[in-house]
Amino acid sequence: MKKAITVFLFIAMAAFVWAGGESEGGEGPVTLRVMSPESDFTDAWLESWNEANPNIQLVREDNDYTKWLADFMSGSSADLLNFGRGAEIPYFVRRGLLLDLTEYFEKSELIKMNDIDLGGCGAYRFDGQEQGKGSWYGLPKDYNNVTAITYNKELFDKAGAAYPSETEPMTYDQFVALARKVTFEEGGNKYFGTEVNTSWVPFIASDMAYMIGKTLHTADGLKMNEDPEVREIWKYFLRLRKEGISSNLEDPLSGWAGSAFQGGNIAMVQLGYWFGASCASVENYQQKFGWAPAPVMSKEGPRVTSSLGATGFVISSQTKYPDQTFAVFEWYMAGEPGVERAKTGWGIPPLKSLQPLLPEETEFDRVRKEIAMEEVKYMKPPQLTWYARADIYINEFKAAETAYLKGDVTEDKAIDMFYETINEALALGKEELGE
Amino acid sequence: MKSLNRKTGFIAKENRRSFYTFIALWIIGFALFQVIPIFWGFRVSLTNRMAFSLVIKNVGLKNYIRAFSDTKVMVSIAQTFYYSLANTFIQVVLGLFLALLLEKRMRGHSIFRVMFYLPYVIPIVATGWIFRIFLDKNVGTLNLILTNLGLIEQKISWLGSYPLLSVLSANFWRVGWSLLIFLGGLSTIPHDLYDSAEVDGANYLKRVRIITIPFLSPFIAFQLVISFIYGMQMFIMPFILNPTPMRGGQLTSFDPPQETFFILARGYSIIFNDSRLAYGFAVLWINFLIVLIFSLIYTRLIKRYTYSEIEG
Repeated sequence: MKKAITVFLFIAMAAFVWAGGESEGGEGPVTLRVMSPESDFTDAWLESWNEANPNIQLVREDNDYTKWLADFMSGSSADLLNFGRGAEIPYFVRRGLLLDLTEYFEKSELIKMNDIDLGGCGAYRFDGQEQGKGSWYGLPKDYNNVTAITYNKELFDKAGAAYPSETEPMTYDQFVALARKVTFEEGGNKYFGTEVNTSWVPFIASDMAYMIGKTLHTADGLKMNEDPEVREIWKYFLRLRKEGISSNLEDPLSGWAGSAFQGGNIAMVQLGYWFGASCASVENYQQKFGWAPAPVMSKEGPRVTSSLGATGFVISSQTKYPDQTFAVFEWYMAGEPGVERAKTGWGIPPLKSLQPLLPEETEFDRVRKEIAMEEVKYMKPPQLTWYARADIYINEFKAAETAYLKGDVTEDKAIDMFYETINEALALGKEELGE
Repeated sequence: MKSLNRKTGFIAKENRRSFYTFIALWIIGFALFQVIPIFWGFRVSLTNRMAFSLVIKNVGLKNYIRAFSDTKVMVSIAQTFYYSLANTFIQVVLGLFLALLLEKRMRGHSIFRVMFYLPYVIPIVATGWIFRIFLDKNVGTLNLILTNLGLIEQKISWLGSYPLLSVLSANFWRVGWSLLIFLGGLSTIPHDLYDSAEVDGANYLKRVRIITIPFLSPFIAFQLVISFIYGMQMFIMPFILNPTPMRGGQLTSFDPPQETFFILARGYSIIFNDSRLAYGFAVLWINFLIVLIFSLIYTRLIKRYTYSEIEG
């Protein structure tokens, strides 16, 4: 019995060691890990690839940045990663987490350099100093003009407000005035004029700063910009909630901005082109909802729209199989999945050759596409630095906003509180990079 | 005689060997996945390491000193402490009260026993979601009931205005564990003691005071320690009951409000959202030390104030 146990333990140990070692490679079959939500990398595409490519098998794991970063630290990150915010490309590149794909792009048969939509995909380029220039580190799966407005015609009719123009952008002052007009209460229910998606505050702030010719940070990217006009931008978001034009602590939403809009609780949201496809689940959505371009800071000033850098795919710098992973990447962008995605209208394809496939049969789809294609011309990469991740801005702004709404701090103190923590994070980021 | 001794020695040796062989796997797992990471974390907490630091240097206790002067961390520790005390009180008092009720063998007591225990079987994440819907201002059942009963005129934003109470109420639902421990404790009390006390004229409350509570004291003490430790380790519930609306993605991507931003969540956020590995580990080590110190104090108090049939 004792011998049997010893032999069993020995075999188990040997199997354990063997399983942990190199089992594939060279010319043999390889297994690649794709970290992506199922909605962006469907089981059907996965099976289709696996069937056609017995030498490169794919396994998908659910998207979890925290896990990917922890895996990276332990040297075992997924090969292909669904990248939620192209805005963070500089942060990841500066820490050596992503594979430079420029040479692959240059050689690719499927992705032609002159076919890439530079306006919408710029956030995936970085030259070490400036986003939108230099090497390629990925591509958006599709991109969107995320500050364009979708509005609820029924709520506008109830409030007796005129619909906004489909072609002429409002100023932010006009937008707030309109939002105030379409904010009302009926039957114990509150209807909000607008709602800023919590995660998008720094990106909308970034667009606003561009439009007044300012930056969110100081020139070296190590401090928040104390310019009064820039501070006013951050205060804009506080005021929407304080005034009750948007949800707040006393009147919260039961879902996120998009679901509350579709549920008929919000008159206008800034979510962009993709949201039109999402609205298709609402009855009579084509009659119920309308479109307007993203607001501007002044009629005479420049237009700027954001794509948050767009959700896309990148390749881990740790991958043992860069060629095989790029093969999957180019198939995803320009092959069967790319074509299928373009036809659904959930976002503008990164390749110009696929953009004619976007749906435009109905008036609803036509208008949202026209607005999107116009706004692509004014797209700029979001103003983040490589010193801190976007989540820090989002969470720290939320904390300052909550303190302000509870009456614990004044408007200016809330901005000070936000700036102080971000400045600290930026300084730590500098230290992390050894600069 | 010599041969018998040799045989006894051989059996003892075999027993020892079997014992260590059987516990070896658990010990290896415990060392690999608990002890080593904990001490690795301590080692990292003495450096300036961030997630992807290029230059790492030792900074001694700087991170610990910094944590004690960091208002946010201190608020998190205080809130976790309040929550743990309140949660311990609810778990012990309510669990004991329900156990005393169910012990009375009234009609249908076994159904109630299952009913009270059932919520504990439901995973904590599911409990959280049930309460998120229950407490929602616009579509929540609680506001609906209170409005229909005429107890409130305006719907209340429970999650936004009372975050700590929301988390406590969701955990109060999980009192089944405490109830089960107390029921087990009650079954160990000899019934003839109650009979004698009754003959001597002791009413129900007096019997509880002079017999039940002293006999249950080791169980109460155990519950106090366990509930407190669990309270100090509360992590996921505040994220689920976060008034900031979630949209797919990660549950932990938005920090909870200050009142329920407990210390483990704070440590997690510092490490994963802010990428400050060393500082986050220092914060988590502080929490570990707090739990350790309180557990030791509790253990001392248990020895002194609880009833035991074993001579100490």
